Amino acid sequence: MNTPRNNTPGSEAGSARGSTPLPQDDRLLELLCDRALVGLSAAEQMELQVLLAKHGLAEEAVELESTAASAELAMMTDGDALELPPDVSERLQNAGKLWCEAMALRSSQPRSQAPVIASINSNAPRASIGGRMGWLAAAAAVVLAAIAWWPSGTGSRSGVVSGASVQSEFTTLLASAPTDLVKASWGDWDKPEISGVKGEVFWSDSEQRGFMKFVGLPKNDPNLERYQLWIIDSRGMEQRISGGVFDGPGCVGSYQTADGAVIVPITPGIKVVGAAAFAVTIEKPAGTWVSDMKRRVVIAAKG
Amino acid sequence: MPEIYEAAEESVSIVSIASNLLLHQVSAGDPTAVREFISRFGGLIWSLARRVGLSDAEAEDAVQEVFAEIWKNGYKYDPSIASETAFIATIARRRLIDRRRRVSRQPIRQTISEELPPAAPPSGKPRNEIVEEAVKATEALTQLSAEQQRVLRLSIYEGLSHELISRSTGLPLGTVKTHARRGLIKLRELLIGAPTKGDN
Repeated sequence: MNTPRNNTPGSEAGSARGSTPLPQDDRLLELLCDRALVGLSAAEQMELQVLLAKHGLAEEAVELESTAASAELAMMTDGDALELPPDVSERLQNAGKLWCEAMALRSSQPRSQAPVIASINSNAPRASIGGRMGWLAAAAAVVLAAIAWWPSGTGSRSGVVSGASVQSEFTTLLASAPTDLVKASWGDWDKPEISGVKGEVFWSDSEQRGFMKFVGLPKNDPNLERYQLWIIDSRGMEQRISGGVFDGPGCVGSYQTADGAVIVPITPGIKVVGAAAFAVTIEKPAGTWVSDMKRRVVIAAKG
Repeated sequence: MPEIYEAAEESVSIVSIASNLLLHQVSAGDPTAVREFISRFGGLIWSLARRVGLSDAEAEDAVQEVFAEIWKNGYKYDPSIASETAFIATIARRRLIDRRRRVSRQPIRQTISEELPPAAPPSGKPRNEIVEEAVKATEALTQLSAEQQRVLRLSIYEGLSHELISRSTGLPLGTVKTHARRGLIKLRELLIGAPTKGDN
């Protein structure tokens, strides 16, 4: 048997044939072990991404997750063996059909105009927990995403965009699904000043653009205080990048969807290289170059 | 490098079904491969999901997430460094741990069994489809210290948090973490031949 080596999602497939030496960083090893065994909190995940970036390692490079998976397989016995229930199997088969249809659509288009798969929407909530259409709805989203087109000439953006165009650019980014598109979920930061804010952040290094989506972000008074995004990239936490100062619902520069979510474009002042984590703080109206990170809101780490 | 790898390097590339590997074919959207994949690995993924202790609805969602992840990333599979089962189990385990944390914000279990499981791996026979994986890993586990085996079993198989392992075994929390960490790193060394420093 071979055990996985750099052969998991997010790793560079086939890029490494030898095992990666263990990093000489006790905290990094501790976080990698905890991730493999019990998982990490959002704050720990962010710390892990920062340390991995510091050491130039991919998350899977140290192979502790695959080691734990092999161990779990070894520990399982016939008593753990279950058959896939017929109804679950049927729903998976239906979702699988949609996946195949999406891929067929993709491959039938000329290369220069090929629609791309934006997402399988793996984190989509069930459309109906009691009902049985949730999976189909999620899979259908894949097909819808697959027929979206990437219009030329929209890859660049300058300055703050108007609220009216935010949604359009946001949709375009998702539909284009650049290969390096980072999607991470917001979670409460350690002792946040505002808790319970949800949503996601989307960022592409190659396109140097991205968006934040918030659910439950309170409205702020821009004359008193504003939100500020911080991006932790390969340069590490100490050289975190300001991703822009922004406001909550109902303010210029953001867009509020019908369901109340707020979408805000990311506007870093300098080039982001290897975005690993994102954090939002509350700062003075003009923002700050050096935040003490005391007024924390949410964080999201590349998973 | 399989053609499918090259094709997947750009999001707008056309993923080809040139590979004869099931995971590549699944990722490329081959209907026959998708059906076969669900048939072959559905039981394993479902078993892993049910062991986590999720509700029926959560388990079904979790299984969907795992399959979606595999469909998206199957093209990355490289048979020279992993079996299909190992690749799939790694994806499943990551997704299930994340799901468990999202759902409960707690480790898998919050109660301790009346009778703790044995330190050694179970004597039962591994499932057929995971025999290849199980044999080497089982052998490797036996080369760990008794305490490392016990802690890893409680963590990986029973799904207990470090805190619960400490309470159930009477070992100090720091000792539990040390056994878990060193045991996992040692296991990695045994499975992939990677040199380990400062172990045992």
